[in-house]
Amino acid sequence: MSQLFAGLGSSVHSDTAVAVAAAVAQARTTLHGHTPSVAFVTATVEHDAQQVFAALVAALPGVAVHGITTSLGLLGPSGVINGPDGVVGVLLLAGGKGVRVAVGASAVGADPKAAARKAAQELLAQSGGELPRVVLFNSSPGPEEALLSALAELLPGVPAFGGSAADHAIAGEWSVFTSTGPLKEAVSLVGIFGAVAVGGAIRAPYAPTARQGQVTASTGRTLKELDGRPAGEVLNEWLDGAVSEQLRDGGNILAQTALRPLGIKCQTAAGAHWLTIHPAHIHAPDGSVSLFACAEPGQTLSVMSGSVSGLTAVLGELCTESLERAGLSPEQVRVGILIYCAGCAGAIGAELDTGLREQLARRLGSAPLLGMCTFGEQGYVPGFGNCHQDLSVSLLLIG
Amino acid sequence: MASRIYRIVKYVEDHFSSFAVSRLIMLSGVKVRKYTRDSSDDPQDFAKVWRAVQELAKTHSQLDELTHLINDQ
Repeated sequence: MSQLFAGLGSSVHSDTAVAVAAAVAQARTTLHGHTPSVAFVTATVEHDAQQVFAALVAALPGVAVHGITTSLGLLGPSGVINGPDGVVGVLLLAGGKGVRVAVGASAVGADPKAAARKAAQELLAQSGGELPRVVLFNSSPGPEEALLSALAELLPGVPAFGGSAADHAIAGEWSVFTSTGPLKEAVSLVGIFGAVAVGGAIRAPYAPTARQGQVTASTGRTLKELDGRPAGEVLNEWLDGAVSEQLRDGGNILAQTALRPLGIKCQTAAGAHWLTIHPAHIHAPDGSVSLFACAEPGQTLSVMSGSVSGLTAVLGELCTESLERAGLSPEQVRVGILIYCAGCAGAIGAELDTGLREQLARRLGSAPLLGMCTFGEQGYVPGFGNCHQDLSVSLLLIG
Repeated sequence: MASRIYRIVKYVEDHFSSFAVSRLIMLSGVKVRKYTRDSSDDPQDFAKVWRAVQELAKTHSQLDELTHLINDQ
């Protein structure tokens, strides 16, 4: 029997300290007396991150802290949890005989790779150099590709699943929770070591269309030109004029592109994998486009197509795939982490609540499942490795 | 006259959910919960919120209700 134990609690109380205490108390009840070593916390930005952290360490002295702010609400088999004053969720993790749970974290400055190395080294220092079976990866949005690249050096072959910190308005109000407090720009890792079964999958439920072009100028996550023309002009044509106003005046294009993002085709040993990219903003007058992932010169970008039904059906598909990869029956699952892109959640609205209840509740047992809406998703793709992409959903099950 | 943004948020909260209010924030880019009953609406914020709430409203009757709501004195 698995020696990983988990307990989950949540609260929509308006007072942050009360909400955290209530969530912790609820989580403790399903931990069945095991002492937690890590508290994975998430909250919407209605709650001040410093107050969340302070209440958490008061309730759980000596317990390592990990987590991110979530956009829109907390997700689980009962649906979307949120209140007028936001929501707090706490997942407590404990390892019994032969299982260890540890945390490593670092602020991210000008050198994200150095930050990732620091966080990974902190993790490995607690395990005597033993590699974790899986890493729960969470960071601020922006440097995810560089962070994962560095992690691959120190944690070769270790699958990483997670999501990027988020707020509601894409206003930079997100936080990454670490044992030293909440940070705006940071990476935090939870390593789970020892005798556990792990199964995870990441999917972007979109299909490529015939519309595509080559990146001819870009810098990081700023797409400047497609096929030698201003990227915004080309994108507007691909979207049949849906972002004409933003092309003229500049503006946010998240809603218009949530079901029609861009994708980069990657070949893996198991076939093609599409890295989906969410165009976020068109800048006037130069027509450059801000993205939530990197697109390099020379890469081909294709317009992808998705649907509301696809974005809910993917929940059931992920349950099946993750259970199969872990070799677990639903009753054997000890904990689950669900990462759902905030852009997708915003696009499908109330259907998400229905989808969660219909697709998760009947497929999974009663194991604690912590779900968050994020501004970037990371997951392990067999034959490809750990990747960062947008408009994606991932489910990690551990038993 | 009560803030129109406040009235829209209250309608969305009452008729849909807190999750829907969070979606309204995402779609509009406006921190709508800072508006109280007596707030003065920033015209640009109102325009963004009004555009966004039309994406949330599922039926014509809801849209009609919202239109009456913001036009009532």
